[in-house]
Amino acid sequence: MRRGPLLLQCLILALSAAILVSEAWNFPYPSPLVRPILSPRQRWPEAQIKEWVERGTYEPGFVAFFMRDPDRNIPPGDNLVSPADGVIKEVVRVADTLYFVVGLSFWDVHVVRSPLSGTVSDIEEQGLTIFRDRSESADQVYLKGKAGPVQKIVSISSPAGEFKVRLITSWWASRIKVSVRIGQHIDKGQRIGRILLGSTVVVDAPVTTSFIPEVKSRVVAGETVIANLPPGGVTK
Amino acid sequence: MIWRNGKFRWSFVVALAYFALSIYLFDFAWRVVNVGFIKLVLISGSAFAVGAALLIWFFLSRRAHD
Repeated sequence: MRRGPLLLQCLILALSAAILVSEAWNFPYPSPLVRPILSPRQRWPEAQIKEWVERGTYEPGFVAFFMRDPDRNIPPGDNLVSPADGVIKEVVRVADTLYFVVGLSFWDVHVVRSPLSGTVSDIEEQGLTIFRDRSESADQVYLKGKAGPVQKIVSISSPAGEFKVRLITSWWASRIKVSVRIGQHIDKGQRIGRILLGSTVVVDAPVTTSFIPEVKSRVVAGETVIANLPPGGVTK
Repeated sequence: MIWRNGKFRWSFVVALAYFALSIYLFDFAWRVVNVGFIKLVLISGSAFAVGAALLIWFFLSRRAHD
């Protein structure tokens, strides 16, 4: 009796069974057989990532994707660059300060970069307790609608004034790493930290600018110019 | 039914492979094509039925030929 056809049949049946089991096991999320041909946003749906966050376990492939840290081409000139990858949520002026609010999704690079050159003058933490005063965020435009926000604020002194970069996440994620120290000189576009599963980065800029980015426009950390500074950087 | 002369019937093997491949393609299409679930089910269900009919026709005609 010839074994060739039977072996071929067994191979086809095993492959078919593997496809069916894989599809059923991973439902409603994509099976490992489909994932490689999907875009990152389809490969790891938001609902699945939220489940991982709640469980505290992540698929290694997603972790490797999330931790990517590509180099960026920093534009020359007197300008502010976006501190993070994402979408401009709001640009709000309060008194003399412009707040650029950048919203990050799960699929964006989460490395935060300095919007301009200067010296780190302060690093502050806020909202590390869920029992904090509720009024703390009430008057802060960039915290609107955020439940239990936690932020680390990197202040940068420059000839253009005192700028702040706020790395904001929710209380339950609550993982922000700042990789610069007080007194350190940093260049425009230099990496200053990373938000782990965070949501928002805000730049407080005491500037007037001839243009601002459109709300909902996509920005790239260290590359997209979000405001111009006067030559020499002095605003007042 | 599915076993004859020391090996599986090819119609069984092909039917299972066709079903598995259809599920795989439907899963892929569901995530990539943005036409709405009901419309996607109608289109892919029709395509599945046509493919299944062709396979059945092929195996029946082969059996008649034998």
